[in-house]
Formats: sequence, structure tokens, C-alpha cells
Amino acid sequence: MGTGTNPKEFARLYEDVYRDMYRFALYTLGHPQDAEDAVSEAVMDAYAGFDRLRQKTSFRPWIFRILSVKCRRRLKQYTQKTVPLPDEMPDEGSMEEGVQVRHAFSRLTDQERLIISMHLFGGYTSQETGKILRMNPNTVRSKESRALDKMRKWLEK
Amino acid sequence: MTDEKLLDSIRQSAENIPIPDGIAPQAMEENLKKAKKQSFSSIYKIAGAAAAVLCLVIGIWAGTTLSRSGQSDSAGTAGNDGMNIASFATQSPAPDAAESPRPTETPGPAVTPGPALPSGNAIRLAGFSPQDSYEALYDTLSEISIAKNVDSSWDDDPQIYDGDNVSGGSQGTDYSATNVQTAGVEEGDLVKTNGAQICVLRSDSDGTTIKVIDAASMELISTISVTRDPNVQVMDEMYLDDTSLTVFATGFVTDLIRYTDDACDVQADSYTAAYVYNISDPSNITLEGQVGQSGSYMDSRKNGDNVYLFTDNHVMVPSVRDLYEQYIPSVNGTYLPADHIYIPDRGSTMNYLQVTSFNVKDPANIIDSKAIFSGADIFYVSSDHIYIANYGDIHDSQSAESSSGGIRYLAENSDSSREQAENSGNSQDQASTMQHGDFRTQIVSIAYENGSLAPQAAGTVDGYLNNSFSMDAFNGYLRLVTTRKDNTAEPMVGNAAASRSNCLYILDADMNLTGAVEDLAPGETIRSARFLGDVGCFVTYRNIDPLFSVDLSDPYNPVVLGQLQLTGFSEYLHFYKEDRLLGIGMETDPDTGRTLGVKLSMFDISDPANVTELHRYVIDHDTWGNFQNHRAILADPEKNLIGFAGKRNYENYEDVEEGSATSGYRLFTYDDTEGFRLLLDYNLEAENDTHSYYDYTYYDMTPIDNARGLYIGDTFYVSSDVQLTGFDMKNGFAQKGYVKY
Repeated sequence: MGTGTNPKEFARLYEDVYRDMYRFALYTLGHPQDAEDAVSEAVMDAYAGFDRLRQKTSFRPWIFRILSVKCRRRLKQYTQKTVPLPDEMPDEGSMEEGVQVRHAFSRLTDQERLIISMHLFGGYTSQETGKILRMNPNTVRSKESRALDKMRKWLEK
Repeated sequence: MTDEKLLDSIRQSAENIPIPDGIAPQAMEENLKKAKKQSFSSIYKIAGAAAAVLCLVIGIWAGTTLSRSGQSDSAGTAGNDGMNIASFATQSPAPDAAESPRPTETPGPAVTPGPALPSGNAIRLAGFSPQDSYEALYDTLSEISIAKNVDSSWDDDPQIYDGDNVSGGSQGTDYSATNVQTAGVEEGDLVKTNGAQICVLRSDSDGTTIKVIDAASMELISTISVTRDPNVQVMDEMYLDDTSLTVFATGFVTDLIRYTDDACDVQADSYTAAYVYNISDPSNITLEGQVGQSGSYMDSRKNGDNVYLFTDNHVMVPSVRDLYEQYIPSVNGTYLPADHIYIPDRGSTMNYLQVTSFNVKDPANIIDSKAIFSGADIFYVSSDHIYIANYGDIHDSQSAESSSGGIRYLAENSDSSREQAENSGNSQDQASTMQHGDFRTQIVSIAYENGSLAPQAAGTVDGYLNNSFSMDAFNGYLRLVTTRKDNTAEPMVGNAAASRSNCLYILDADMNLTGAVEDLAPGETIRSARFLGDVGCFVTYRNIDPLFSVDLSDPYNPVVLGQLQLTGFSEYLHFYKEDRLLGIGMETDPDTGRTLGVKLSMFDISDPANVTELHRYVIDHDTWGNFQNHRAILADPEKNLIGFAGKRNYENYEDVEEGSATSGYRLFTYDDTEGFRLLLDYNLEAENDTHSYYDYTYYDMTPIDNARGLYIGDTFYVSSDVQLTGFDMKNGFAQKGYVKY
């Protein structure tokens, strides 16, 4: 282990990102329990390696990188079926759109969900996402675009 | 709805999803504290997993350069939990495993005269003549030395060559062997194992010694030193099998030669000794026999029980004919018969290469020895031939004799012959500038079998060889790739590389050219090459790195199949698994040429016309790796391990100064899905007790030159200048123990 992981500092940085981390994992994996596990594991790894993080300002992309690895591993273990997001919220008018959007999102492929999650919750640019997923950034953008097209069609029905 | 709005709505949809309590910061703090309190093994696992993240961090770290970072095995992955990374900051030593060694000292060398070599069956070597008699030898050498106006003072420094050490590929037993060019032909190295003992050849202030360590118990059993012999300067490298340990040592003897009452010469003559020890009982090592010959150690090979020793010597023709010892090659006190000595018909050199073969089970009775007056830069040994390449002003039988004299044939190693070639464009010497076009590579081939040596043929090609991997023999044909200066280009001072181009040549058993492809990758130089059967791959480089693949199935018609352009360059290529080619080298910035870090690449060569890079791993803070010496690389496709030592820059690594270099041994594994995965990142400098012991901030030399990695069964060992450290491959590479030298 490192010589001095400052738990308070870590906790403070974690506070800023943990919600987005969960959303990222949840939207990517589609399973709340798996998402929670993935975040947990990512935090453990991050905590242990924290003292080697040279610039604390890069905490966010760094821990998201760890999390995306955890999520991608899990995606590989799933079969290729798309998993519907659990619908936890009551079906209220104000929530209508949210529910429908989540449902449409869940119908995307694993990769499409991952790409959009990295963009939205990880805050990565298409360049960065391209690097992490080893894709050309143009490919990233076009995949995202096609995914959104699909969602749009489903939502406008 | 625009994309933007849609994305917003997705984000919105997530806003109100409740976050589970288990991962809220409060709860996470509790979890982390709990984790710390668990037993040692659990902590190790977490630390292991965290260290697995380390490489992820490194991957991100330098920001824009992509690393295909290693990924940790999550705890939930079934089966393989043995490959986490050892935390490199902790050096928790096992209880001191080093017992007081029981040194076995060897007596100094006494050259035992062996039986005379049979003569009378001289073998014709095209372009060279075996000598009819010692008289003829003397006369010819005298003529040459007068013609060359050779300075008759002796060299002050013996030519001592750094032994390369390699242990390669698995041999059907579960321990690693030196990484060699030709399977089945062993090469000497500093660190060797036979599965039971690990022998380490090392130098320190006490001289050069070999430490014999029992691998399983990590105990030092014996120390062999040859320091009793004041003439022995350095031990070069060694071979180890189940029963014998063969060590080569170079030294020089000084003699006073009295010509008249007032005139005498001090003469320093280099010689090479091979000591063969019996290690059947490692606690009682005995000297089985030895072989001595004049000249300094250049290289060697071992095929089965037969060792082939290559030395270089320089002759000074004495004024008196019968001072045989000054110009007639000898081995074990016996002169070579005249017809075992070959002098080129054209061209001239006072250096000769001597090849001697002996069996480790009976070393005193050497099998054969031949001497060839030729330089020797690079040795390539196939399963049945020895190829010796020499770069210089070579005359083939058709070309007119060069008008310049005094061209050095013997470069000290292939690197400097390359430097010599690359600098020749910048040479101030008018004569040598004009000789560029005549600088070629001569190859001499010697067939060998069970120790017998039969010089076969000599041929010449344009350009110079990067290293021995630029040659390969297959089905009786020799394939080579060279870099040459383009004769038609204007010599450009300061930009020698601009006028380079590269060639592929194929020679038959008589060293006649059967096929060639020339002027490949103009402006670039060959950085690495590897051949396998009908396919050859080589990498050229200036600022980007094309990887060429060539179809060699028809020796009369080689065809360049494809070219893959990449950034950086590979220094070493290794055919990995089916249809895979591993490249180890450096990543560079394509615009500036600046080195960005050490790079591992895995290429898919299933379609040689369309080679692709499947995975790439850049260690972007690494400044250098020990890739010039292929023997220092561990590349074992069966065990799926890739290891090497490298030098890195850490900006805030503990006590090390900003920007200074540290050195480490890295071990990787590979699969097509995950790419390269870092298994071990071992800090070699953490072994030292005091930082000032090695002042690496100011020297280019770091402890990586002598570092080696090897495995026996499930234990991985790293040998450095200081100690041998063992790691448990089944337990996340946890340190098992160490032995300080």
C-alpha cells in the first residue's frame, strides 16, 4: 500500500463524484446492484492507489477511468441482451419523460450506453473516450450520434 | 429533439435516481477502514488490486499518450487470481535466506596442451586460402603488414568484448532459458538456470565471481571466483546445464621479448579461457577442464554438449620467422595446422577470428579449431552453420582493389559498426568519404556439426547489418536485411540518414545472390528484424516506423507484402504465438521525433500483406529499456511472459530527485482481448540500502544492463546487481525471498 493516503482528502474528492459514478455505472450496466458493486470496487482500488495520483485535480477522470474498467469487465460477463433499467420511480406526470428516456436508453447496446455514459457522467470528450475504448474519436462521435437517433425514434413514437 | 437536448434529457433522467447508501461517502469511509484491519493476506489482495490500478494511473498519467493500460482482475473473476501486481514500494524481505557461502575457488589457468589437430583435409573457402605451411603463413602476413605499413607497437588495450547473455524460450521444461535467436542453439549470459540452481555472474570490487544459488531454498551454495589468476581480467559469460557450468574469461599476459641486449618489447597478448566446472553436486563444484586460446572473447554458442568459442586476435608479424607464438593461432598450447588458417585472397587485415569447438564433458580434447583472417562484427549461428558478418571496405573477387589502405575491419560491436556506418557520412577524412560506396558487409559461413568446423563460403552484400537478427538461414538460403548509403545521393554532412536506404538480400549456400529487393524505405534505417520460415518482418525508422513484411518463399523472387506505418519504432521483434509478432521498442512523437516512452506492440500477421497492430502499451514515463541486448529480454509465448528492465523518470517518487531516473524490471502478459497486462513492476533501486550507493542521476548507466528475469515453475526471479529476488506467481507476485550477492 502507499505510504500515506489521506482519507479525509479522498473522502472530499469522492463526495464530488460519487453520484455521477453511480449514474454512470447504473446507466452502463443497467443493474443497480452491479452498479453499486462496480462503484465500490472502483473506490477500493482508487483509495489504495490514491497516493500515487500526482495531480489531485485529475481525480475525476482518473477514478472514472477505473470505474469504466470495472463496468466494461462486467459488460463482458453479461450476455448480449440489453437489460432494462429498473423502473424505481413512480409513474408520475413530471417523471413521465424521465422514465421513458431511461427506458429508451436501456434499449441501446452495451457499447452505446457506455459511450454516452462516458460522455454524460464521466465528462469525457470524444477524444478521451476514443482513447479509453481504443476507438477513433470520429467513431465515438458517430456511434453516439446513431445511438441518439435510435432513442429519438423510440421516444417520438 | 436535437442531440444536445436528448443528451440533456438523459442526464436529467438520472438526476432523480436515488444513490444507494452503501456507496455514499460516509459508508465508503467505513468500508475502507474495515478493509485495513483485515488479515495480511486480504490486505495484500487489496493492495494487489490497487497496484493493478497503478498501471492504469501510469497509463493516464502522461495525459495524451495513449496507454492500453493493464486492467486488474476484479475479485469476482473466476479462476485466475494469481496475476495481480506486486506493490512496488514495499520491499518486505523474507527472513534472511543467505547463508554464509561456501566458496569454491578455482586454481588459475594452466593451458594444458591437447592433441594436435588433424591437418591435411583443408577445406576451400571462396576468397580465402588455407595456408600450406607456417612458412607460407609467415611470408603472406609479412607482405601484408609491410604493405599496410602497420604500426608495429602492440595494442595497449586488449579487445575485450562484452558478452551478451541470453537465456531463451522454454525447452519443454518449466523454467526459462536465455532468449536466443535460434531455437536449440544456446547463447551465453550472465544469469543462467537449469531448473535447480540459478547461477549469476557478476562483478564487484572483489573481482568477478559466479554465485551458485539453490533456487528452491534461495540459498547461496557456492561462489566461484577466478581471481587467483592475476592475468584474468574479467569473466565474460557462461553456460549452465544439469551437470556443467562453462565460463569464459578474458585476460592478457605480458611478456618481455628480448631482441637484443638493449632492445626488448613488452608485449601484451590477450587470451581467452573457458573453464568447465562439474556441478552435479552444487556444494562441491570441481573444475572439470579448461580450454585456452589466444585472443579475446567475442561470442560463443552451445549446441547440445558442444561449445563453440569465437575469439578475436591481432597479429604483429615478428622480424624473426620462428617466433611462432606471435602470429600462429593456437589453442591449448598447440598451434593450428597451417591449413586451418585462412587468409583472404584480396584485402588485408591483421586481425583473425578463431573458432574452437569442445565438448563440455571432455573439454581438454578440443574437437576442432579454425582461424580466419577477417574482421568479425556480428555472429549468427543457425542449427548447422555459423555466419560471421564483417562490415568494412570489402573486396569481392570482381571489384577493383580499393586504393586506400588502413581500413579498420573490426568494429567493437555491431552498434559501433552501425555508428561507423552512419558517421561515415560525416567523416572529415577525405579518403573514407570517397570510400563510402565500397563499404559492404562480408559474410563468411562455416558449417558445423558435432564440433567439426568446415568453412564453406564467403559473400558480400551492400550496406551494414543492424544486428544478428538481420540475418536468418532457412532451407539452405541466407536472408539478410541491410541499411546502406545511397551511392547516387549527394553526401550530406550532418544528415547521414537522409541518404540511406534498405535492402533485402537472399544468398544461397555458396553465398551467391539469388534474390534482392533494394531501396526500401529510403531515408530510414533498419531498427529490428525477425524471420520465420517464409516470412520476414523488419522495422525501419526515421520518425515513423513502417513495419515491413516480406514473402521469402521463393529465394529468387522475394516480395515485399506490406507496410504498416506506426509511430515510434521496435528495437526487438519476437514471433509470439500463432500469427502474432511482438515488438518492443520506443514510442516517439511523429512530428518532433522526441521519445515518449517504452512501447510494447502486438501485431497480427495472419495476413502478411495486411499487418495490423492489435494492441499497444506505452509506458510513457520510461526513458529507455535494455532492448539492444536480446538476451536481457524475456519473451516466452508458452508461459506468456514478457519481461525486461527499463529506466524511468518519476517526478515525485519518494526520495528520488525530480526528473531523475530510476530503474525497474517489468513483467507483462498478453492476450488478444485485454492486450498487455502488467504483472510485476519491480523497482531495482529500492534494493539498495543507501541512495548514494549508485548515483544514477548522473550516469546513463543504470542497473538495468545486468538485470535479468527468469522463472522456475511458479516462482519468478529477478536478478540485479545486488541480489536475486523471488516472487510467487501464484500469489500476486508477492516477494518470496531474496539472496544478496
